[in-house]
Amino acid sequence: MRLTKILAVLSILLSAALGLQAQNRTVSGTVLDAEGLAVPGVGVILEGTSTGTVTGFDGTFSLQVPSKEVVLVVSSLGYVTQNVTVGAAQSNVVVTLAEDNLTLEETVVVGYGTQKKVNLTGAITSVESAALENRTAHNLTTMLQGSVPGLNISTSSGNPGSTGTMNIRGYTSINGGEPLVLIDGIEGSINRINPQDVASISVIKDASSAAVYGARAAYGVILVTTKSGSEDKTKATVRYSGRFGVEMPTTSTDWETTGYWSVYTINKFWYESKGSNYVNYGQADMMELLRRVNDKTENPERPWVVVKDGKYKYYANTDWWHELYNDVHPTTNHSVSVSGGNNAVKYYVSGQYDRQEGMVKARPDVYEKYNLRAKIDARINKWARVSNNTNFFVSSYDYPGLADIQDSFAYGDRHAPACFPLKNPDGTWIYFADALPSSYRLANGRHWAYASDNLNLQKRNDFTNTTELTVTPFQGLTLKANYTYRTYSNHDTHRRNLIEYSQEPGVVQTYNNGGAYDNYMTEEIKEYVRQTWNVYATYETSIAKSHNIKVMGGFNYDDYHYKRVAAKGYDLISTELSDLALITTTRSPEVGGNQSAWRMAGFFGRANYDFKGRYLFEVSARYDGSSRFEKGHKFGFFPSASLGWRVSEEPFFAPVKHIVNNFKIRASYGTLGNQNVGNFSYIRLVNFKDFAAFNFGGSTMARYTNLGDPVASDKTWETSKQSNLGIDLALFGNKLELTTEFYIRDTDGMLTDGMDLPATYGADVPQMNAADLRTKGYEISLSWRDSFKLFGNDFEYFVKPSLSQYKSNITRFNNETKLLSNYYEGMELGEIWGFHVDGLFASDAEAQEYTSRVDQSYCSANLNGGWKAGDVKYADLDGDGVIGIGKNTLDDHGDRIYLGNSLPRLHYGVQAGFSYFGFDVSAFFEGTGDHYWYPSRYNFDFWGPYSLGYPTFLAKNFLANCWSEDNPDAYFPRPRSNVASNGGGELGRVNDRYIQNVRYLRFKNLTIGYNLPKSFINRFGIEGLRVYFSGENLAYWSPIKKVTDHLDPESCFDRDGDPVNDLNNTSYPWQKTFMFGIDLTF
Amino acid sequence: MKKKFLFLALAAFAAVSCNLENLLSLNPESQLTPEAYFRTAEDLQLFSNTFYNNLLDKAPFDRESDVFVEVNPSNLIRGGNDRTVPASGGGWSFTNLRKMNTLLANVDKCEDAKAVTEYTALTKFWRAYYYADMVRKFGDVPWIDRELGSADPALYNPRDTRETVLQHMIEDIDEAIENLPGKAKAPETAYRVNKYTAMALKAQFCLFEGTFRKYHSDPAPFENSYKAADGSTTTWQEYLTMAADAAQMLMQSNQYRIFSTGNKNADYLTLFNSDNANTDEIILAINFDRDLKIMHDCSREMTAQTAARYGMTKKLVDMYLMADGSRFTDKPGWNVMPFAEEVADRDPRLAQTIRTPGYSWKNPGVSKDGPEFAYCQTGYQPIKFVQTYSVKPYTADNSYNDMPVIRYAEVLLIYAEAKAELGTLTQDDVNLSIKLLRDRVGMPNLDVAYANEHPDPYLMSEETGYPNVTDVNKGVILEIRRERAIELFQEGYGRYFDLMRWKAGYCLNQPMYGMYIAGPGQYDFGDNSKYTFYTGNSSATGTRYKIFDPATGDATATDELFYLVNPLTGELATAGVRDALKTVPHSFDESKHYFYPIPEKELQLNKNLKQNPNWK
Repeated sequence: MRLTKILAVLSILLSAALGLQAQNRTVSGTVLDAEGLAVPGVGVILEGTSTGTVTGFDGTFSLQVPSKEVVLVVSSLGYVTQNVTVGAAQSNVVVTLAEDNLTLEETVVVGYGTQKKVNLTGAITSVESAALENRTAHNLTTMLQGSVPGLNISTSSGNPGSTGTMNIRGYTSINGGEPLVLIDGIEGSINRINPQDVASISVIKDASSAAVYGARAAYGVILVTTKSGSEDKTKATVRYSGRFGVEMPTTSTDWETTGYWSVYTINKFWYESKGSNYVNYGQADMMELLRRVNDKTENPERPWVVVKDGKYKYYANTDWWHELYNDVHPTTNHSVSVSGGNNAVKYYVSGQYDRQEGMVKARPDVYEKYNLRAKIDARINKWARVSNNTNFFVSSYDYPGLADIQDSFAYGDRHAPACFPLKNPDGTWIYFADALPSSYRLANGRHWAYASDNLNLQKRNDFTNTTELTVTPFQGLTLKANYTYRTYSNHDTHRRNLIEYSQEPGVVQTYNNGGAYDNYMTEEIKEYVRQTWNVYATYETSIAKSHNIKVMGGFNYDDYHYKRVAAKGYDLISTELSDLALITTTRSPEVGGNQSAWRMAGFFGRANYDFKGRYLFEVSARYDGSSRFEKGHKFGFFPSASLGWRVSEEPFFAPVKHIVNNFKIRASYGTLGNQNVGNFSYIRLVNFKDFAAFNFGGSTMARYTNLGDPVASDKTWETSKQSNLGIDLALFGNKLELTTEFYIRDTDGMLTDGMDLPATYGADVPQMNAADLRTKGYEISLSWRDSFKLFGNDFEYFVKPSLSQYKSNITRFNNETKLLSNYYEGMELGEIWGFHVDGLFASDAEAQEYTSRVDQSYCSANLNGGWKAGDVKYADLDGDGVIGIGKNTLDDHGDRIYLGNSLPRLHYGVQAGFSYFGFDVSAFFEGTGDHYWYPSRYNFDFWGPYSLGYPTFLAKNFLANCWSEDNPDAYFPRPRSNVASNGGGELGRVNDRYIQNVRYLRFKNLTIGYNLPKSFINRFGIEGLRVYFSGENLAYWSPIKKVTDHLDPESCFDRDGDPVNDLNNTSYPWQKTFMFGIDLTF
Repeated sequence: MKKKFLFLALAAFAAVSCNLENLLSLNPESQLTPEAYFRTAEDLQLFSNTFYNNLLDKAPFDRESDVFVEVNPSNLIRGGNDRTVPASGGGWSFTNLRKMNTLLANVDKCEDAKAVTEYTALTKFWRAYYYADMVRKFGDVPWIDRELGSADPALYNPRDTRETVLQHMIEDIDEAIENLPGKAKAPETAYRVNKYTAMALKAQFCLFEGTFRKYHSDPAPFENSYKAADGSTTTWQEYLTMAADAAQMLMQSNQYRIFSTGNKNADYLTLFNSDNANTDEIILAINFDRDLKIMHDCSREMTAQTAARYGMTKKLVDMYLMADGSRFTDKPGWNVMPFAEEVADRDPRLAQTIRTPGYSWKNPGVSKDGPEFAYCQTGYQPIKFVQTYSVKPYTADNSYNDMPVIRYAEVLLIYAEAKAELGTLTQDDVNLSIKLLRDRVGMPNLDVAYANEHPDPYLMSEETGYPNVTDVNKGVILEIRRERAIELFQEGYGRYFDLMRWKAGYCLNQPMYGMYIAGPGQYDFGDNSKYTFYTGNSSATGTRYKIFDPATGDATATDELFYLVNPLTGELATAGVRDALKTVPHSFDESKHYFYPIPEKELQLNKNLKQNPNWK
């Protein structure tokens, strides 16, 4: 940009703050419609200014205008905007508005076409680009979170590049199921498109709207339409948007940093369970730590590392978190687009660069992504157009450590009390330490791994190219044929090195465990190719201007191929370089690979009929085939139908039409399929494997083959039958809009262990379509938009709350005894069963008396020395003298009771904002209703040392929350380690005292922007200039905050049930973002 | 234009739909389908490799027995209320059988006719092996010789009779003997099944069946159990004859011999603690390999405090003859003899089976120690599968000596036992069999006539023997049982099933005592081990054990309590034999424990399936 332009921008900013134009007369008037009825809620604006007002219920208005002749712009939804000239002497006007067919033509993107919004009969929510353009979140799912009722989005990680997972209308299937995402009609990844490219997003929620996608759309469809060039913009529009900001954790990172308190606390817990100290420090060592308890930095008189008997001793006060992680870390985004066109050619080209730097301090993890989109549409002749749409996406995530970044957080959060520094004074790493139990290593070496030459690089790229031919042979018929080639790949590189550490001055040792601590690298390339063909025709006609008919039909074919190649080589000759060319072959390199494929083909069709826009009918269907089923079971037919009644168009409705502008009732029913099974799961494949430990005397492990499990011969589609009832209302001149939906979705024939077979069958019971699920729910969205005069200027504001809720129950499952350990008929998904806790024992005597009557051994793991004061008292609800789960069935559940539901079944969101005098402010809140989480057994952030006993990050003053004689009302029980990590421990058993309500309300976004006045910037050839601040995830409120401010409620879920490889300790924190941005259009 | 257009569209539609089914048919590209497999000898071998891995018991020793006990015996040994009907599992598994039937159903796809014959025979060997185990455990079981579909009514069949199953097993094993190849080339020799393995297996299960029917003759445990569906039957004598014939066929093949270097004090032990199976004597073994980390836990189990503290019982120690062939239990004071004296001058196999003075496990010359109660609760600490200390086998899963599955010695014992039970055993038969085992360890031969004239009261006693042996030649039958218990200690499918077939479950009710301790005091069981036994509070250091004093009933000591009982009366005493299982009940119920129970779930799923007698 030239210097002059920058100066121009600055001067615009300045002049914007200057005074207003003088207003010195009043014009009043009435706005009527074609039939002479008053129209309320009509905007009346003085042309060329932002001064204006809105008509009242009686259709009247009054406005201050300059004394000269003025032009009023009168506009309202559904009417043609009029420019009314008011002479200098005129003080009263009557404006008659004509109905605006264009607005009535407002369309929504539906499957293989568009539909007039007023004619919709299914459940579709449309999000326009304006709602997304100002958001600074890094990807679309995060932006959409909370904005569409019924579209539930959850994030599973806070690391750079992490995205949300989407789910439409609650629990889909016990085998999982996600919405189908189509980008410009082609299946794609929603998070791989540039949010700035989005023109609109249609979220299709019911079966009738999704029916044309048949077997892939059982759990809804999201149609993303990207921006295109416009025919009437012969002059190119260039838009630049730049954002700079920082991210930081949403949760506290303030941990115990004094060696003394860290060791004291951990040892106290450890000793109670194991009878020994975790950090092997005696009285003298503790005195050393106490001497330094107030040293924030090392005092030369009291060194943190001391050599005793030739070995290092550590008395440090290390802030491990801030030694390992940066709380505040930068992020940047630039995007630019150029668009334009004329009658013959339209074009749109855009690019984006997004960079997120992560938290790791030694060598930050960095996520970068690039997007490029190019669209061109050209007229061939009078009846044919050809278009091409290319999207290219590249991302890379480069992070240090030993494995996954989450793994580094999880395992670095072990075995590093604050008394240990990261390094010895001579710069060598600390790894094994005398004071640590012999099987444990400082921070599991993650501190070293962050700084080492270890490398992890995840590269992703995605290329999609669609060519489409549109033919209009005669009026009313449109024919489209397109072909898409999409290739995307994952390329992962990992590099490991040997760790060098020191336990005594001058002696450096190397550790090689043949696993993570070894010299090797791996490369893995996964390549995916998808080709899609669509051919479809649309015919539209109107008979006698009353009967409107639209028919669409076509064919779709999808071909998918996947291939993986992997290699691992050892003993690279350089630690800094990482390439398989550098391996030495003293150890044999390892290679592997595999490939897979599927295909689908389907015929689809849809017919719409309406009578005078009053009675609406739609039928659609798809006949789908999939390669994933056996011959004879490959095809499925999925029909649906819907109807709507626009009550407000009835003649009898006329008297109230000026208040109720729109009133529509619609209903739909349809069937969809789910082909979500393995690509070749109907074939018993031959598997070649090495025995874990068996051979016949040779020098290698023996190999064997086996045949996959038998397959039920009638295995077929899971189907989803959905009914939907919707009501749309618009009131007070369309100021208030209300949409409600009610739905029931039956997911039938979910694949599961079909039926128990006698053992003589000799194999695992084949999967059969033997389970059913019913999900019921509703969605409400409300919108209020209005404006009024404030100090002579228009104050426009809006509030848009929305709410959705669902409930899912198993309606068929093979579990006759209703074992609670499995699904059972009637079960509501998400049920949590657990014990009732009657508080903590007040005294040893009470503990002994109670446990002599009630056997608490079911929760006594790591109970050293018997039940004592401060231990958890479990209620013997069934009175049998034993705490237990009975037969663990619905009828005999022992002492356990239903404690709550783990699914966030209620979601809500509120968007509100105003604009005034060039400024705009919008805020967005979203949240969930009551849902519960029993803290995962290894969650250090919640349990501290009650879990594995050796957390690196220990909440400050943790003991204040723990029971002691002086603190009998504490939340946590008597300090004991490993009682939460052990599923049989007093905290490992799910109970109502420690279950957490993780409902939350999140201040998701705040944007404050200023649009410089057009009249001013236009002088510099600039069409629009906006500066703004935007914050994402600014704050949250949740009951769990009362217990800990280290856990974001969205991070409260079980990451994996496997305690051996548990990532629940600590996860990459959820992030909030503060960004400043500038949007420039010229 | 309109019409033309519609016509074109319809034509395209028709063209596509015709080919759709083919368009949507894909074949996996990185995995084989069953149609493309089972084509070569290698395909068949890879598929059958699973049978070895899945069916051979890789737990390194026979742990369920009346002569070998652990701190916390399995429910099989505890019996009583500890043996319950399982909800599911419990050995009632047909998974491996299905794999065999899969191979048999597909074997004809192979173009190599020789391979078809060989792997059919191999699979039938494993099917017989599988059924031998099922019959031992459950008695009558369903015979299934094809892959059953999920809707096949045969899933709900009742059990076939024992006789039906046995007749099929004999067909299978005879085909295996006929068609299996001879010994495999090194290094696979001892690890692959050959025709001699099949002969040994036939001898094994025919001996089982013959003796089982002889002792469980009246009545058969199940109605018609000894009759096939067509009414035919095979007598116990015929089974024993088949056992002896199969053993004899193997003996006459001259493929195997008893391993001996002439060192009577080492050869027996060498056979079990060597890295690799001896291919002269061991017919089938499981390979363990240090480099490939295929290892077992036997050395640690016998030498670690944290393990189950296995020990031989005094009953078996007392069975070992003196080195001169006379009976230990004929010696005065045999029952209250100090350890060192007790184990002196015995059958050399004793010192090669348990730790006796002079045995050095740790580095020779560095440390010599005697039995360790902390490792072995009876004091008779097994060493048969313990590797030398220098390879650190004492850490978990670090032993790699091969484990024998069937060895030639067992075949000789089967031959002798079958003949003896038939009443046809001659001194010549003994010279061909038992004598070879005795020769290796320098023991005098078994004299048939003498044995029959002087049946051993110890082996007839209700406390320590088999009172239900009543044949005229019971003397030699008992001697062969002695020989079998000693020679095969800790090996094979085990002592437990010997007791079952002899209808001698009562042996599990006999006392399971340990070593004799002459009361409080200090003892040296080895060359330099010091033990202190006391009854009151003692300040003595070293390895200390507190003998439970029945007079004071002291039960509060933190030291491990050492229960001693009078070996004759079983009453608590301050001098006597250790009753290691004092607090562990073990009771065998003659009315039901000869068979395993069928899991509850199976009875519910298949109403035609009836539970074994008296199990509830």
